[in-house]
Amino acid sequence: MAEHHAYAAAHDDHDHKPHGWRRWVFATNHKDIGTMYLVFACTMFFIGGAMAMVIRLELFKPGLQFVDPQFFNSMTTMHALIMIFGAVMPGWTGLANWMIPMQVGAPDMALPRLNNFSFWILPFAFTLLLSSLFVPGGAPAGGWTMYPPLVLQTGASFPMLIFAVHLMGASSILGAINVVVTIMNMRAPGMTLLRMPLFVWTWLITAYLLIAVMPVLAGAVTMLLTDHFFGTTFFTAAGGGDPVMFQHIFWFFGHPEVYILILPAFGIVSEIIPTFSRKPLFGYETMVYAVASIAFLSFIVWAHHMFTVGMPLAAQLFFMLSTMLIAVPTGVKVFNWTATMWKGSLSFEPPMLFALAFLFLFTIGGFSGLMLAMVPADYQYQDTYFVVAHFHYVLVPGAIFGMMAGVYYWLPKWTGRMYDLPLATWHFWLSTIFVNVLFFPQHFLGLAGMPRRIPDYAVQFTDWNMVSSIGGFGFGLSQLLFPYIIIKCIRAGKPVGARAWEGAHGLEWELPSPPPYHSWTTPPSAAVIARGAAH
Amino acid sequence: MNARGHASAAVPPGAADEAGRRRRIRRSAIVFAVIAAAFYLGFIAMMLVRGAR
Repeated sequence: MAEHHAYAAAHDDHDHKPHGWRRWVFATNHKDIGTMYLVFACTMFFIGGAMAMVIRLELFKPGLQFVDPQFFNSMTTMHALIMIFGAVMPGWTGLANWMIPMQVGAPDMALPRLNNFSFWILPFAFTLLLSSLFVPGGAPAGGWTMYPPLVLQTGASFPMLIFAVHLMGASSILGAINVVVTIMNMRAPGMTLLRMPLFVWTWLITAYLLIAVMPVLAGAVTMLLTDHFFGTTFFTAAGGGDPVMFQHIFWFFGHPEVYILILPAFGIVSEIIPTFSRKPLFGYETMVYAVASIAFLSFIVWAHHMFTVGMPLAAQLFFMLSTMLIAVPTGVKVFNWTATMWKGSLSFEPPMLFALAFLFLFTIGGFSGLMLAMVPADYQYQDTYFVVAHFHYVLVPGAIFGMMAGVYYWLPKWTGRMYDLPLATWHFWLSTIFVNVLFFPQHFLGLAGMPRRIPDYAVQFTDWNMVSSIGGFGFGLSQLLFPYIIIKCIRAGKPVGARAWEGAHGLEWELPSPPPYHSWTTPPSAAVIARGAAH
Repeated sequence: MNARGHASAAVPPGAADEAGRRRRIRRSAIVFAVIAAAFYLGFIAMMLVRGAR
């Protein structure tokens, strides 16, 4: 503790920060930019969540109740785009901004002004996308996958969609370049690659994925734009183009994108489970290799999203087997997390609860993914609610729970205050119960043949849709606790010391809580790094 | 802190090291930007070549 006080005393002169709106508009500090990313992601989470409520309200019973089919399709399209590009990706970038410099012993991100630019692109991108709700013809309704020829029939909102996707991609690429450059050049002396926390490792690999695949999406939507406005026929069959080729290009981006959304959650869970098990992470190096293997495999499995469009038998076999291969490194990770808890001194604070729910529920999403990987079975499941159940199990109790675990883990570090633990435990239990009520019945609906992306359905699907909608309303309402707990913590939380969780290791816990505005202006000593890297 | 008020890199052992690090940062950022641009243009070029066949 004396060491922390000494750090604070030595560095109080660095704690000057700009005030007022200039602090945020011209922000170059990684903590300020991280905060802006997290607030933005939370806002988008609630906007995208409101759209999900419209979807579940309409599907509560058969027949058209509240919205017309065109608007319903706009809701499914916009919900996906907002949650993926507006909530989850910026949420991870916010956590990366806050934590990576502190975890590698750097004073800031390597490119602070680029960091500011990559954040401020986002509000423009999403204002553009959301304003498409008010143009003639309504918002894009062809699905977030933007498959031609359907998407080429979009009305006035088409160029808005394309430009918004370009802006989101540019923001992600710039953010990813900043993360890679920071990790490769700004680590404190002695912070070797295999001493880095798993969150930093998973983000490094995520950033490489982003740099490789976001430009591919940008290329695909540029070609859509020229098909629509400039008479090219890249994807228009009438002019000799190939709409199926768009699907190949889109999923060459889209499958690594799934791992972009989930890998940072692996990193956070790998930090939280050792902390609340009071044991080092089991198999640190194998975890790193497993994440790298998953990232590599993510580039050679894309066509499992499109088995039913037709492809040679050899291609079906290749994509089926390569997809199943992902279960191996994923199994290594699940085994290592379980082995870390084995004979540990466990306690169940909210971050650990969310991490455990992640472990169980993400695995359910993984298993249904294996079912979908099998070509003959996929012919049955394709475009049904089984697929919807699968990817929501991966993304909600996977990515979103991972992010909530991370926020509850580091919130005392960021604010210097402890949040209301019983209320956060309530948030966990309500979220976990309702997320299963919401998504588990969708497996049954899909297996019974209910198609996705429809506003109306046959009466035999009514009961499970009602259950799913009730789960959806419960899950949506229970998320209101999340910002309340954070605001309450900032205003009136009980002060905590540098190491808010007694089992926590890592350089961020060597800094005072809250950390000074500019942390690690003096690199941590070898002894501090060795203590932090006790995995 | 530098003149613009940004946090400078960790206390440098020497100004030459710091200049070298800044050079490495700039160079690696440009390399990754070029890789991203190559993926963007490469996929469009691939489609143009495919369409011309």
